[in-house]
Amino acid sequence: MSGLLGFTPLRAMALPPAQKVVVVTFGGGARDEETFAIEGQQYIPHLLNDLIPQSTFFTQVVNRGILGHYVATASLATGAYETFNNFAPVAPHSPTIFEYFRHDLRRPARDAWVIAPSNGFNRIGESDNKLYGGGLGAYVVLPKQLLNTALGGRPSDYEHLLRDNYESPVQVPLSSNRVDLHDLAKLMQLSVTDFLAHAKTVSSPDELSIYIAQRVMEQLAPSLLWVTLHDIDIAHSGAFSLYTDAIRRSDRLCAELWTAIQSNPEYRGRTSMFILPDFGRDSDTDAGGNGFQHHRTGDPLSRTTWMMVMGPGIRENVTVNRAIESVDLVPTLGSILKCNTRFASGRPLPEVL
Amino acid sequence: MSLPSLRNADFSTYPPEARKVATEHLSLLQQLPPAFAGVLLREVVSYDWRFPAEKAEVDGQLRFLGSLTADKLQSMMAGFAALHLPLSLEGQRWGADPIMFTEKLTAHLWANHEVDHFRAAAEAYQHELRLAVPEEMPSIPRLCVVVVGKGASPGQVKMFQKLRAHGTYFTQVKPANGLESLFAFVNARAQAHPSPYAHWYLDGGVASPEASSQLTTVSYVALDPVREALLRKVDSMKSSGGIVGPEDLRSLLAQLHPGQLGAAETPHDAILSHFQLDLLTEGSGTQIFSTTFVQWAAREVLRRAKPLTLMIRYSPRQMQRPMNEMLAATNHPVEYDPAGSLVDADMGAFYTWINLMRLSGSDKASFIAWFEDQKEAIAITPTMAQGAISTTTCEISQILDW
Repeated sequence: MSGLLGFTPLRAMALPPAQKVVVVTFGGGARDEETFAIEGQQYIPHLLNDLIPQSTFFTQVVNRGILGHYVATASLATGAYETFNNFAPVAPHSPTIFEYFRHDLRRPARDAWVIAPSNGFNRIGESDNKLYGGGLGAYVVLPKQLLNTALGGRPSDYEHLLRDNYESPVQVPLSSNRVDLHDLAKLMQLSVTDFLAHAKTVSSPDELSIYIAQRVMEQLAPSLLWVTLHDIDIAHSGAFSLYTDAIRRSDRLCAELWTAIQSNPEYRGRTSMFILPDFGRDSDTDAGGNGFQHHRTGDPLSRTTWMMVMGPGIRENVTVNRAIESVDLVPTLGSILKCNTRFASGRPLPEVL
Repeated sequence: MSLPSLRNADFSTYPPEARKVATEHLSLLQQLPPAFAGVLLREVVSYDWRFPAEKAEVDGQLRFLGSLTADKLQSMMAGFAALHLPLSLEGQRWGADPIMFTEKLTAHLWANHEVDHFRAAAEAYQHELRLAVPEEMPSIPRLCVVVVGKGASPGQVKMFQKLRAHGTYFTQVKPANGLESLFAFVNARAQAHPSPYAHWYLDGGVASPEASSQLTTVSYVALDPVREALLRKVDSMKSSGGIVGPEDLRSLLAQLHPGQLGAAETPHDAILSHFQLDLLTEGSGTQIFSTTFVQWAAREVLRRAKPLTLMIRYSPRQMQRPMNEMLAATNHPVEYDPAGSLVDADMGAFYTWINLMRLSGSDKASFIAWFEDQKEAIAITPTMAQGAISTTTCEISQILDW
């Protein structure tokens, strides 16, 4: 009798389905002045008005590592400060969250995806750590390379999508560890013609990335999806208007992605989304730098950014002012996804757990 | 790890004046930690092409360091001496190529989480240096004039937002003869206070004929041949496959000389030729966007030449295109972006003011920015009210006189 009474089928039915996580990083670095500071709020209406009210917001996320976009994004993905040459085509040395997740939960490759800028981020999905690595990483999609492949190198109407940031034309290209066009087309049930047709309707590389992200969500619904936006890095060219245009675009795309999550039954009500720039940019007042243009001084502003977290169980409209580190992201994701991020140096963030 | 001690032979490839400075101070340089000496030698190696203010700065530093007792020097250098040096430099004659040395050192400091220690040591040293060797005060209060927005429509951008708190914002300036008035004013200053590299005019397009020959003039269009030659050089470096990332490229560009780009290395002004090349090789984006070029050039003129007068004028930059296309030296017709350029220039004006404020005598300096051919201007001077808005109709020349 007691055994029967102890059986509670309704509660079992109410158990939440497995958690999903979407991470959006701005690989380009954005300063508070152009985002959440008073003068910057004009550039982020969606983050400010639509997403902040639904999120727990960390105001001080400190990156103590190397302030280069690939190495910093790799550090975000491993939870440990990587120290390799930012411009070298190498894999992270510590295991990535994708590997922890797939290894511990025995998940197939199609359950972890990365959509990243084409140059330099090829190896972001999988470390060279001997205990992990070796096929345990994420699928990595490089939208601009896909587009290039689809076009077969022909001159086209897509040049606006193929533009690189200021630094990438001298980046070493590498073509391994990524999904090629035919794999992707097969996995996403997307024809090259459809891909090209849609690409024609978007106006920047980041828009193309978000389009791919949405297709991946619709077709494959991975539990772990990581999108790195990179349009903001045009700031290195020194044109303030292009930098702020890119911030506006990132703002809109984040809101679009959250809307897509809410309208997808596979994701709605079971997805946590994390949004954060990889780091800041130099302060206007540091004589060693040139303001927003770079992130070379290592001054506090260039090392400090913010993070917004939203999803089921995460408190809404809450601000956390204590300083955390960017390497805290992976242990936090590990706690949510129930995997052991044992080589990460950061700590889980109790405010969102 | 320790590096080989400096010796005179390390300076054998330095240009004549630089070699003389380095050899005269060899014993001092030998006492300095390489992390500091390398940075100092980076300044020394280009001594021959430095502006008078920069030469005075190097001389002042060497005098200051030479005047310290051994104990004081050691304690001042302790922060630099504690830094770990890259193993890749072991056994190398690092003093012979301080540019390459400092590039490698920088990468190493970042990778080893020591860049913050370097910053702290550098700031502490700078503080001591300034206490002992105060910056020279300008002979007359400095003046900076920034003209923005050529070809842009008014009403699209809330102008001078970041500057308004510091000065008076004018909303009813009569645009007629504005540019002529500004040139007349800066020309007169150059005429009255002649001094090498003390009065400058930078233009993002074609230099105005209104500028007098006493102004040191740099224009983006006049540098087209150098810029295009540089882009071709970058292209060939990329094609050769020997470059891993922009840092590598920057290191290689830093070693170029005007003659290597087929540029007319004006015999009577090698200093200016080198400076112009530096603007294109050290400034990111200066090769493709005229707005970036003007902002960076203004920063470098203020930082390096420490002028009495600086007038800068922005022109529209090209529209954004694929980066590879912009970096290719082609003769394709260019489409311009005056609206975006106005935003760039507005921020550039703010940065120019910040850089002006870093110089000696900043409390007496004057700064004026004007939206070309429009009614908006801002003036930040010792006599102007801060955070004020003037709706009085006035001429540019009146603002200059107030």
